[in-house]
Amino acid sequence: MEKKEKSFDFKSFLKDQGIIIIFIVLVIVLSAISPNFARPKNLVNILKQTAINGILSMGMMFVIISGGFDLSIGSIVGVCGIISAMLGLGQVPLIVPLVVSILFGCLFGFINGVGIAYGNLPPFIMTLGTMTALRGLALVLSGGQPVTGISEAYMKVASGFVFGGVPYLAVYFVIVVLIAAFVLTKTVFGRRVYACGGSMLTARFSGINVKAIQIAVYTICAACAGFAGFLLTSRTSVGAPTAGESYEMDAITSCVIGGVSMAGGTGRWYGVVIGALLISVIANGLDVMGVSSHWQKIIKGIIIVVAVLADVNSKDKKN
Amino acid sequence: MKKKIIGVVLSAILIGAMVVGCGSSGSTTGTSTDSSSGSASSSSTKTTKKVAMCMSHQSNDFQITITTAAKAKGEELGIEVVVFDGNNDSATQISQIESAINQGYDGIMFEPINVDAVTGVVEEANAAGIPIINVVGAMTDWEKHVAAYSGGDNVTAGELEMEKVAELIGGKGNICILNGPMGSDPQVQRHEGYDNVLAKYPDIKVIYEEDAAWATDKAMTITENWLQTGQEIAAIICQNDGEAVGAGKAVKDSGKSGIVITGVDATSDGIAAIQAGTITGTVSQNAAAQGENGVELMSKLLNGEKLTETDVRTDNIWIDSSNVAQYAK
Amino acid sequence: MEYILEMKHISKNFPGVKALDDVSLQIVPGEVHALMGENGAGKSTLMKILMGIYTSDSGEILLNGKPYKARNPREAMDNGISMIHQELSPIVDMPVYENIFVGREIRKNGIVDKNAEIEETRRLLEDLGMHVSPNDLLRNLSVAQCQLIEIIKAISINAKVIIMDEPTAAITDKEVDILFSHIKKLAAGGVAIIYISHRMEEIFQISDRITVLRDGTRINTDEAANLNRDKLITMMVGREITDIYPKMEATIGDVVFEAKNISRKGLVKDVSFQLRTGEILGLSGLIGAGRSELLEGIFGVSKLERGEIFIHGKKVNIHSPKDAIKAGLALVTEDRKNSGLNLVGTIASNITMVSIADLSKNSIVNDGKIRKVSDEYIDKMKIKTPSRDQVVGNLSGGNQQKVVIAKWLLSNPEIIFLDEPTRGIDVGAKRDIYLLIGELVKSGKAVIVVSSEIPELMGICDRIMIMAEGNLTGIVERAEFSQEKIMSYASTISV
Repeated sequence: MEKKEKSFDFKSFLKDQGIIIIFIVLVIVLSAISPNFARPKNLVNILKQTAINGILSMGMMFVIISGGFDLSIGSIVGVCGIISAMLGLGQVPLIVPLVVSILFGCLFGFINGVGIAYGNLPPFIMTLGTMTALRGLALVLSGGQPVTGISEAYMKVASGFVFGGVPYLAVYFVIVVLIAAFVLTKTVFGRRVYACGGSMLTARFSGINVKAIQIAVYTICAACAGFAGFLLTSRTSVGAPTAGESYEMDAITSCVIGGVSMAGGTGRWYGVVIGALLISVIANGLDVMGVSSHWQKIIKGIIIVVAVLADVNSKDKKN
Repeated sequence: MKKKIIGVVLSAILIGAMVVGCGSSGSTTGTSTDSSSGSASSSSTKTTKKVAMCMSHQSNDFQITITTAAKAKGEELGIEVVVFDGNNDSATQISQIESAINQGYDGIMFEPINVDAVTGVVEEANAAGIPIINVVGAMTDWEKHVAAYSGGDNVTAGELEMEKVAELIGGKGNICILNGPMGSDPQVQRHEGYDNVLAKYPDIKVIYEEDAAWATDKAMTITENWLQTGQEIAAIICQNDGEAVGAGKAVKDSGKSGIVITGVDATSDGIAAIQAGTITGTVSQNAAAQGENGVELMSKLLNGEKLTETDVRTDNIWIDSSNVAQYAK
Repeated sequence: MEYILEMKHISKNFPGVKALDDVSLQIVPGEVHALMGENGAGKSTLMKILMGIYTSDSGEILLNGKPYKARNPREAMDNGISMIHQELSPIVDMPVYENIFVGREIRKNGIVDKNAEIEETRRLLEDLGMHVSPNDLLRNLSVAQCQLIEIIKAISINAKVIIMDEPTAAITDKEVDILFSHIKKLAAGGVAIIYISHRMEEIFQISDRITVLRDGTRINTDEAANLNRDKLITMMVGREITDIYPKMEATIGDVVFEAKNISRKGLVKDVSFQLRTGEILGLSGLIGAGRSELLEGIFGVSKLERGEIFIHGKKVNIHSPKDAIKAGLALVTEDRKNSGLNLVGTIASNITMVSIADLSKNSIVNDGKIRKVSDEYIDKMKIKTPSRDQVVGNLSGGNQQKVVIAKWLLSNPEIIFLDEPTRGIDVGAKRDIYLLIGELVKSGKAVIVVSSEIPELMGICDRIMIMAEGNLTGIVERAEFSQEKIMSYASTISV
């Protein structure tokens, strides 16, 4: 049997990673059109603006690769954002709202996971339910009003900078990406997530505890949402009950653009990172050029279709 | 069996949360589902009148202030005010008003989600002989359909906001506008107010305008991006306080100063931001009074009195650091 | 004679592989023409070109003397050529009558005429002797019934040429007889059937002529009467194979596995048996007898109503596949596509799926070990692939099966259950698997093989258990193997 020596095949790498090309081209074009785009301060803005969606996308990535779907993370961001704000008025050390927010995220994710794994509810239905209920919870907890008065220290969490002008938000994003990438690609758990997504039945027959994996991925996703909620409150300085609305859509979009198949079982973490960056770049570029934000939606939609088509086509050619 | 457990757990969490948040919330009844589940009111004695208050939504400070004040005034006057949340959906609101007509309410107050869509159902109320009053935002040709209007005036609010800004920037300079959802009534009306004032100041240029959908985070991202363009910005005019807070935070983070930032509504986040110095000022449309006046008008109608005034507008008040202490909650 | 179909000098290349090299095929109307060859010989490729799924690089096709080229299966069907695929994919939540007419619904005044479809379906089902209602959902039917419905679909299109790819893979002998009588009827009516199968007896039973392909070229075409099994195998494999069912000598030792009173409601009724090291135990029976259900119950996939399992004399509690694996069991399922493989995963990820924890330290995966182990097994089991990162969905049926078996062997089980391990696999690969089973038991493992091919079981097993309607009806020792005896234990009231 012949075994080809695997030298780096640049051509097929490019074909597989069409999204990287689109991203680079877009950045070049935008820089050419508007000199303001490539200024360091703007690039810093892009990093800040990507961070929260980026963190959410990393969590969503686990769920989609495992073959599932989570509509509730926007609402989780809202609820946890409010809880963080209520605990972030300076009365307790910041570690408290951070940990409590993430724990509540874990709780909501656990509920999603149990409903899907043991209740056999389709992910769409289960997370639609929690999405609705938790948005209601956010309104109830906050009395319909934004929670104000968070401490200066808390505000610094999202607006501060590390040496050389790198925003804290970017640092948090990078940390989450590194952890997620590691778990997904280097651990037994990560391999099992891919296996479940590829074929849940096969995974089960192969001795994998499919239910446990399901609960785990939804918990991870919601924990990321809890963290994101904590950060969003810091960034906007208020805990708004309507915060996070439709954030799940951007997270899913980032994954889809990044090559994660909605059927499960495939997808690369770096694709998702690029997907998240792409969304921010589009929004940022259009704002800088003074183009109406309504165009953003049209362009996002076009890119989703193009990215998936390119992906499907390159897979077809392989056959 | 497993589904039951999940249902119980979810309910437990919701109940727990409600116990926690119970102190602050105002409206609890009548969400956008079936009206039969809506009126969970206690047994009404025949002497207490029951009035339905159908609002566009109940998810922000402005709205909550109106309905809280209305209910309190109602208690004073012997009226039970039951609030319905239209969830910003016109069809839902129409169903709610219809249900109010059929469920024996003595009177109806409403804030239209769509100024034309409610005409039909308002006429139904008239045909059934139920007193009906328009509050907060005027429907098309309200004089022809309802007994009275009690509300704010978005156009004059916009004018007041822009006048103050023009004063503060010395009548010239670049300004940016953050709108509410494009095409919505408050957005259109407040913008009309801005335009009326801007006509008088040829040296003020609007260099950027965007739709920030009342959202703090969107306003923040948009403002961040504007600040990067290197253009000189004298003021950022926001159509509500939620947006102003976002714009203010972005400016604060950028380290720039001297930009005038204004909002509308005088909600608690806006007030807090004025106190903290991150925004310059806001326009209060006296939400509480809008609600109270409406209930007073309704009370007169229910007692069979003829109304002397059918168009009751609240005054717009400019709030900035000089007078914010009075309004802090 | 006039040919209804002529494929002339067809060649087709894929990157790195010459799938077809100047292959010509002539089909006479009303004949049953068998197409044989090992996996990878080019049979599927040739038929896919006919069906418009692939385009040939060179050559031409004549249908009724006129040039023919289909750009997609739709066009092929419109021209009167239809195909029943080896791997079924019916739409399980649709009722039978909708499935049969999908894509070419009967219309009346522009609206689908359900009643006409149901009537026609009823007629076709009765014709084929099937006890199935047009309104039944495919989800509720057996694999065999689904296959017969695919056949009905092709028949109902009034095709002039029907290609049948392994049509009898999952149906019982009785159903095969029914199918063959229909094929003969069709042939008598002038329809040509191109019949692809690995089952020799059937080939000789039903075909008029046989064409053999090997490595992309046509070796020979001849009347069936002029050929026999050995000649065919020699042509297909290119060398003489003397024994189809190699039986290797292994010492049969002590009882390593015992099942007592295994029961699953309605499916398995009080089955008890023992298994010894070095033994190959066959499990025979009609479809629906409960064989797979028995093994799945033991393996912890499905709950047992009652039953105890003993390994090396000690009782073990198996509540999940994980428990079973820990106890030293392995189960190669019947339906590899759905429960044996992750089709979007690589060969490496599939092979290591069960044993991933062993190839890691502190939960961190050792990629080097994974690469090494995958290459080892690709070599050992002669899996045809350019690399271990090949997506499994792209492999041929035989190679896919090898990947599944490799996955289980890697977990080093003591007791291995194989459910229809050679289904849809060519002679050469089948032999590899028999040899492999022989090696396994020689090294002291114990194996149960479920199969619907009695000759296969008789060839390799030491004993054969037979089930019927959930009961264990008989056990036959090798010395007393006979087809009639086994069939009689297996027979009960018809499906």
